[in-house]
Amino acid sequence: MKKFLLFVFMLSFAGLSNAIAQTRTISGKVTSATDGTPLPGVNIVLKGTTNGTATGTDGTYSLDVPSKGGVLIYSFLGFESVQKTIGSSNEINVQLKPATQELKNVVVVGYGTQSKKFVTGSITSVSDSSLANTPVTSFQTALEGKTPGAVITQQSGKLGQGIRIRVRGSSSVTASNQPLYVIDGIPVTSSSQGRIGNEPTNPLANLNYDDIASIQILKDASAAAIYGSRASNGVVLITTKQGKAGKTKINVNTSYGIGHPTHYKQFLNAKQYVTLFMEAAQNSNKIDPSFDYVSYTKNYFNKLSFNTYSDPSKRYNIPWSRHAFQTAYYRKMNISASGGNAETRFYISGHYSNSDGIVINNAYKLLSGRLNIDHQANDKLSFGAKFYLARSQNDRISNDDAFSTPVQLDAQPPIQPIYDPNTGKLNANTLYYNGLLSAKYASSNMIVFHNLSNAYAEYDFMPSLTFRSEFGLDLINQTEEGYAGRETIGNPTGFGRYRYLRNLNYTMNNYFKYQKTLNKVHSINATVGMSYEKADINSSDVQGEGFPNDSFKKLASASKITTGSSSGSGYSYVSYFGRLNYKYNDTYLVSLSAREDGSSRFGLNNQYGFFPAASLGWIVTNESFMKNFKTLSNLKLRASYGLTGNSDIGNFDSRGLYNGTNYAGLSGIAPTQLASPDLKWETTAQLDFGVDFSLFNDRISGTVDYYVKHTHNLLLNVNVPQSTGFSQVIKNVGKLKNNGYEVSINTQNIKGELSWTTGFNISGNKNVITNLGGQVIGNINRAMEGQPIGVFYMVKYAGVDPKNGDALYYLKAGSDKTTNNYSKAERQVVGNPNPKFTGGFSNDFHYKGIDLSILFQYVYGNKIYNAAGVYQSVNGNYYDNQTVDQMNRWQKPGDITNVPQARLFMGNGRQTSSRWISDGSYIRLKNVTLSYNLPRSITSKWNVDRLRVYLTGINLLTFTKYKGWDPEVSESYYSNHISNINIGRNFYTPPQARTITLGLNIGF
Amino acid sequence: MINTNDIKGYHKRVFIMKLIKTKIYIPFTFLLVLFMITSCGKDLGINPQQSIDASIALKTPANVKDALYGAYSEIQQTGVFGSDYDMYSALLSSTNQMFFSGSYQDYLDVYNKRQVANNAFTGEMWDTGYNAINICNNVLSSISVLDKGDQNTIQGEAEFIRGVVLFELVKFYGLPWDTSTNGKANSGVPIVLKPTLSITKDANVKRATVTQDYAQIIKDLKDAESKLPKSNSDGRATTYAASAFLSEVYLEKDDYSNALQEANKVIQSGAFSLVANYADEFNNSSNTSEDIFDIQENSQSNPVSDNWTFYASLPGVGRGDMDIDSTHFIAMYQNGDARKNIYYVGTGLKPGRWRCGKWKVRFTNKPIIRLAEMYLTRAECNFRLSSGVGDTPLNDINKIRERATLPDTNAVSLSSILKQRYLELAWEGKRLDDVKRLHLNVGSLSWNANKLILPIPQREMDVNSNMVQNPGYD
Repeated sequence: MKKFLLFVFMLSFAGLSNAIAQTRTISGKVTSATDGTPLPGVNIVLKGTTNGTATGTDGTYSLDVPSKGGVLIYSFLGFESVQKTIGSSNEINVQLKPATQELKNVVVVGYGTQSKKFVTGSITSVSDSSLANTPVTSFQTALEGKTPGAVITQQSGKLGQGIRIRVRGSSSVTASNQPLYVIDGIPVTSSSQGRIGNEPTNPLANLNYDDIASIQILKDASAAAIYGSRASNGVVLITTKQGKAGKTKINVNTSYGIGHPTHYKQFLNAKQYVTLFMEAAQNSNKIDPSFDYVSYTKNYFNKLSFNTYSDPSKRYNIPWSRHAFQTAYYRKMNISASGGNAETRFYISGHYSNSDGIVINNAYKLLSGRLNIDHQANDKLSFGAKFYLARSQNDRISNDDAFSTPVQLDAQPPIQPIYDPNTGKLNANTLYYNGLLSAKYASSNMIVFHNLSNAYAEYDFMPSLTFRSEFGLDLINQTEEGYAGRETIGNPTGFGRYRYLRNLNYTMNNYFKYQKTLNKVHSINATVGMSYEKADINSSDVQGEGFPNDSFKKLASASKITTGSSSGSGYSYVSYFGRLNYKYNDTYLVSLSAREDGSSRFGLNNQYGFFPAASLGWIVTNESFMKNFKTLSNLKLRASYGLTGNSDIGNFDSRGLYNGTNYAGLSGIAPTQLASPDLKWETTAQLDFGVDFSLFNDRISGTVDYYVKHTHNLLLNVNVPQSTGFSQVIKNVGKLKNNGYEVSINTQNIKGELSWTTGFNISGNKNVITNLGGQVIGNINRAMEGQPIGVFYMVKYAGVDPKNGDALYYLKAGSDKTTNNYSKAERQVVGNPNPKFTGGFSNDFHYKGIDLSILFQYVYGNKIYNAAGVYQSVNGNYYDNQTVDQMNRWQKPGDITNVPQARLFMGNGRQTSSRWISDGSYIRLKNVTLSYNLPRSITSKWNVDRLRVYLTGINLLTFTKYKGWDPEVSESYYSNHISNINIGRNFYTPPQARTITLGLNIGF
Repeated sequence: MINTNDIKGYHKRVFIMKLIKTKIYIPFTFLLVLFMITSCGKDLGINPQQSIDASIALKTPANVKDALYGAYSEIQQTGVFGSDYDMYSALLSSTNQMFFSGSYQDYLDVYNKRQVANNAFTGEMWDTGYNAINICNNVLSSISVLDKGDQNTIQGEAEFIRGVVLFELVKFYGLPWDTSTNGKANSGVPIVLKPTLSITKDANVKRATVTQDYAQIIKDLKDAESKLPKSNSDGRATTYAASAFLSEVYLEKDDYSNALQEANKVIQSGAFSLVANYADEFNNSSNTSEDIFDIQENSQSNPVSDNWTFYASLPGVGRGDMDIDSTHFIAMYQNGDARKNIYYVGTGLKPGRWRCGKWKVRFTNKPIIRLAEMYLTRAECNFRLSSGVGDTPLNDINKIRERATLPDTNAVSLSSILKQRYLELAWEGKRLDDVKRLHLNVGSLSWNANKLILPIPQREMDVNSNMVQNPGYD
């Protein structure tokens, strides 16, 4: 009623003002405050009236106003509104500032956005500027060190490989522990789609991260529960760039770089090699007189070295391990244009990058284009679409377990030549298959056409009630093609393979948003809707042999097709969700959210799950009693509790299944899986307490969070006696717990012409499996009760018996007693591959046009097991070249050393033990960027708005005690998915790259 | 996209107009919500496309037959007849007759008789073997589904497979049959005769004794022998395959008269004949006239690849990890013995060493039991029993010698018969059985040494509280 009266009053006022028309004309120009360019389409309204106009293409306007008084309001999307009181002058020129501050203070949450100030959940936010210039192949890698609460590990230095991300620890043992990725509101496929037999790939490497405007990581239940059944591992929300009304901006970003391994591991040279192995053979002769190890070795070395090894002047001394690596060149070109007017805005971009791997035969090329359009049809209806199409080509090398993988070259004895001196061809007479043959005669690549597109429409029923409908698809069209020529192992007539995969994942979201403030103090913000998601995965695989010669590489020329198959799979989700945010007087905040999810993956008895969450916030500094505490500019206390789920298991894990089999043309069936009709969600209950604060007028600001996550009804592959014909059955068994903290602090140390800001973040997580129903899962890495996931469980190495050079092992956990009989020693927990804490430390300096940013990243308290130690650091047990530390072997009674006596073939100290476990902590100079913005006075002469030159270094320095290649490592050759349990292992895994790039950024 | 800045002053009129109009949207909104809720609920039923549900898998005659073929598919795997049985037989029974030159420490440990309980490879036999037994149990529980005419054959085949797999398992994981105690004292392997449909406490099975295992094996094979046809398609089991295996089982427990009878049954059937050239017996793409039971192979179904991988070293083929010793083994063949020519000096990855040519051509059949063995068994048993069932030991041995292009001999002794057996069947997975039943030594280890059997897989020990580890591995 009040409003109606106001309406009548306003109408009559308008009528009145028309009646006494005494007008004058105000004109002027509206420009952008940042670059002075004219702004077309700016709305100009005389305050309190409907009298208004808009600026023309040149930014000018004119408007008739009453002769006396009045205020003009200049508003333009993406800019801060300005009010000008009409004075005596008839000309009013206005500069509008971009609403950057406003954007920064908005965070994307599930199905909407929220003012950062009033968020009660725990969210890590990263904006684009810190990503764009990092020369890596995936945006996840570019985030390392910047995301408190999310630990990002690049598994190896291979390009396009899967990346391990753990948001607040591992919440599952069997189901995936990777977060859910949502791009512009649409959940996308993030797990590897590559074939079994090679390592996991990362479909999100196909995303051009120059297009990313912001990334939000939803960490606590309050933030994530709106994604219900898939939120236990956190949710990564990615928002791509949108155009802003105004002059069209073109941005060119190009960079060039070179990369090398961060570190080279040292192996024996030829002299050391011969010394060690002749000694090993002599020692074995003494132990086992039935066989002449010395003459066997001499014969063998003669064969390997083309009869040169015994003559130091003639023998080869080849550092084989170095031949695995190359100088990696990096090139990138990214062009984008954005702009539009008040009705229609666009962002368009094209990208090309070409990265070489630091290991030979490894490369990643990405070509992509994007078009994002938003259109305001009228004051009620808006719609838009985002199209993204990428083509990536990943030239791949074999998994870490294959002889053909380059890093396994380090096993080759240095006494062998690279080229056969008799034939001049690559040496095929090597101890192990010469991986350089594969580098030369085999190829393998994965080409992906990745389409990520969506369209939306939004309708305002009322200013307070909006309906939004969006449809998105994520289409991966992938081929993997390989050919291995006759010179490679196991392929006497050539071998070709071709695998095709199409993964179509589509989502429909429909939801209402309601926003209303009552009596100025009660603010309500609600969302309710539903979502449907379906994935359809089809693949085929063909392999063949019998190629006429190595010029024919396509299967059309294979005389024998050895494998031909096609398969299909899929899953679906039906979900209903809602969220209610209530705010009282901008001080007291309440948020409730819930999601009901149905999934095709679960047993018919338990297809639906319900995931509620609630949170409270109190902005203490908005209380009147805080008015006098000027030092504290912001203080917000938060608490949340809720349930989230995990459904990331196999699509048909709940079924009892028979699969097809083949016995030389006789096709049959065999049971492969036992049914679990009661299988249901794994549920995580999370409690979070957080504080956001800023001091001294925001000079110091920070966030502190503490959380406890309890996961129960674990989706667990329970080991069963194999005498049943099955090794595992999936059940909801067990519990685990994560608790931890996150602290991030940002300070503005110096403000003004010279500015210096510092950011520091630290996150610690403690994971413990509290109940596995008595199960023990895994072998070397284990999931076991009372321990964090993935602990190393093995016999503990006790060094070397000074009397006889025998390797010694501890008999029992906690006992000092040792034995040289490995079988007598008990296995025990010998290390934890999960870090105690991780984080980053950054400093940014700005002086005139010069910017310098320095980012350190650190990981502390994790252990790494070198699974290749049994071959490469085993005191000359077999002919593999050894790491240089093996020269410290025991030689005579009384020698105190950690390396047992060298005994050829005798397995002295060879069995799996803690001998190859080392500390994996490191601090790394992750990113240093020095850039220079040329002054506008110079660039404007070339019609260029902005010209920036930058030099970026990645992984420049690493401080670590780790003896292997690189401490950021986790081999994953076991499966084509990132393993939950097999963490922190190195098995001929390539190190990370140290890359230096020079880039140029031009805006006009 | 939320535009929160819209409600500026001048919008207020529009805003109020909208408020009035809103009412007509209410039914529309309800319709939308209704659409959203009802449209998608049906779509959670997504079915696998490469699998069928276990509950319907064995409900038709065709499916039960398919499951039997699934059992064949299982026993061709590496962990069963694909290669482990003869690889481990060779590694455990050899000292200087061969050398394992590969880098796989887990194989090398077995060759050195230093294997430990968590050896990464030795558990494979256990795992695949019990998978095969479970498939057979599924088939055997559904025999009534089959047409009457098929029931005997299918049941016989499933019992045959279950019997031979259990026989291999008890030999590798249990101490050898000891005639003095009839195997009673020694732990064998668990006997599982029911299909696993869900996991209950019964899954924690106990080990049977060696005696019980042999009784079950003989029961299965005897029944199979009576039910199986004289010939079968696609290289599947016949009554003679059952007889041939029975002769092996009886021989292993020193039951010479039964072994003799079964071997004689096979020979006298006339269904098989020796291949003229010894070398032609191996690397064939189908059964030869001599083969009683083969693992069938083709390019699409080739788990035997491990055999050529480890034995062969030829251009592009094989790792050449199984080096055959010329002085200590190949020299045992006298000159002119055609069987000597099966050995060749390798090229390829590890050139210059002696290789066994029985396993070198990919995608070819693997003979599991062949007629020559039956002659050798008959000769040995007749000799031991001083009988002449079928033929004299001398004639049987001369048959073997003639095929090896050796001159006939005038007299045979037990040792000459056993030597022919060794040379004829070398590297075919039979030697370890002979070492144990003949109470021979392997280096310094006696026939019943703990290290000549494999540990119960560590994983099985961890999972099954009723499982007891073999002596020497705890």
